[in-house]
Amino acid sequence: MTCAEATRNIPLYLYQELDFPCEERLETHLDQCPPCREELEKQRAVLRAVESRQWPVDPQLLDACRRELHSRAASVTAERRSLRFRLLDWARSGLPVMWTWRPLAAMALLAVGFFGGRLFDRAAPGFEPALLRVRDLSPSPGGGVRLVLEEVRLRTLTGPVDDDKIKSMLLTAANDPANPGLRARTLDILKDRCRQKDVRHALLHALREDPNPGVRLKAIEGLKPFAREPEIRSVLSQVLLADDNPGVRTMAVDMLVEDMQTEVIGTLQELIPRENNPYIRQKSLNALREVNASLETF
Amino acid sequence: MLTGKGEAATAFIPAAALAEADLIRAAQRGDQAAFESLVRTHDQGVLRLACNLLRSEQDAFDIYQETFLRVYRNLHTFRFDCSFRTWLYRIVTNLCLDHLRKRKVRKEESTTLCTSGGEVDRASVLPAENPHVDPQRNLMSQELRGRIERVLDDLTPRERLVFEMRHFHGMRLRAIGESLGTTEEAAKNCLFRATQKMRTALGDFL
Repeated sequence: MTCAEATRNIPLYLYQELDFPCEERLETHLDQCPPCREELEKQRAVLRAVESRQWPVDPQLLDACRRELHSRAASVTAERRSLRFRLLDWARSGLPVMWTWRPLAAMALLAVGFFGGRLFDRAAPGFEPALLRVRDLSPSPGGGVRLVLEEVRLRTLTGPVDDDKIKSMLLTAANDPANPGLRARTLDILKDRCRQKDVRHALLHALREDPNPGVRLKAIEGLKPFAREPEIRSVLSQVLLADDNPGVRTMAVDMLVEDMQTEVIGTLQELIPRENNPYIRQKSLNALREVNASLETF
Repeated sequence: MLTGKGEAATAFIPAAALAEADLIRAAQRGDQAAFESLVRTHDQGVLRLACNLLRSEQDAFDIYQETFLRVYRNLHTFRFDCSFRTWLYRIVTNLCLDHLRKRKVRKEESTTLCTSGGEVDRASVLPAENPHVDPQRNLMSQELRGRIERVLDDLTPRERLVFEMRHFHGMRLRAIGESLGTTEEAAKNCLFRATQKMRTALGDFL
């Protein structure tokens, strides 16, 4: 190897990008050529000096990026959905066969309403008194008043939790935005049925999105027997990094490190610098030490 | 013997890569949580690359959003014929290259950085020297930092990108070549030119 070739190969040698024979030839040349050895050290010093100018990523900027992306991705999803609905509408309007359906469907709905109403009246013992709301009023002939009422009837439904109708009602109640107590009690009932896909989705949704920590704790408790499954672990990792409630994070870290897998390492390394709860911090440090992983990201 | 080793190497798929493949498939099916996990696995690297290359938090923020929204919109087209990281870096490098080229045309490069706290001198955001060392040494290192900034600005967008990806992100030249849609040899040449320019600018100073 000539000195010119050696000089050309030195940067690649420093980045370990030379193939084995070329590296051998360069090292042989360096052994015998003091100027090229000096050049090697010079180039090494240059790269080391440049090392110092890496601009550190601001965690607040990263956080802002993530939040903005979350909302933009949600908008993209909404756009897609609305496009899908528009396409469906278009397809419906373009299919003449649907016209034959519409009168039939309308009649069927009327029949269901009529007979259902009669059945409803006969089943009066199952009903609570109606909740009323006056939607409109106007004077009626003879000095009276004409009211337009909106009635909400309370109805009692009793049956096994696995009954389709009951379960569907429970899944709706798990999302009731007005009543966190109801959501928590609902998840308490559903959590034993986490094996079922729709129930699991409801628990995962509550764990990620519910604003009430009590509800999130119920959800994570229900997911505990399935903490080895990738889908659950992925959400647990997000919760560990993002949930503001230490109780929820404690359960998440316990579940994740109980079965330490490689994908958790990055999460724990990301968590440690910003976690201020001593238990969660210590648990994460211990888990990383056990698998001989470094304690932070570089 | 060599064939045997080669076969073993081909058959081995790291557990992390398997988990990532599952995440990608889930995200392709529309699983939002899986997509967010993918983002969190790679987004620090993407943001660091954009920050280092563009030296502006606002521009890095925009590149981050555009990169991951493109991933979100086009993930269904990902066919596992390269690593997800390579595919992702193909997107981010193209966006950064376009941005750098536009900036070169507009001659926007300056000696200041745009941060959330306003414009600051580039050299001042670099790690500060120990104030207890003698002033002459501090002066020397300030001069050195200034030279580093100038030589980085003098690199072509492609040289700068290759250098960033190899030096700070530890990517192999083959993967860099794939990300930039070029060959490993071309990436090697870019890296060589970048290091030579640095050698020329800084060599007499060290």
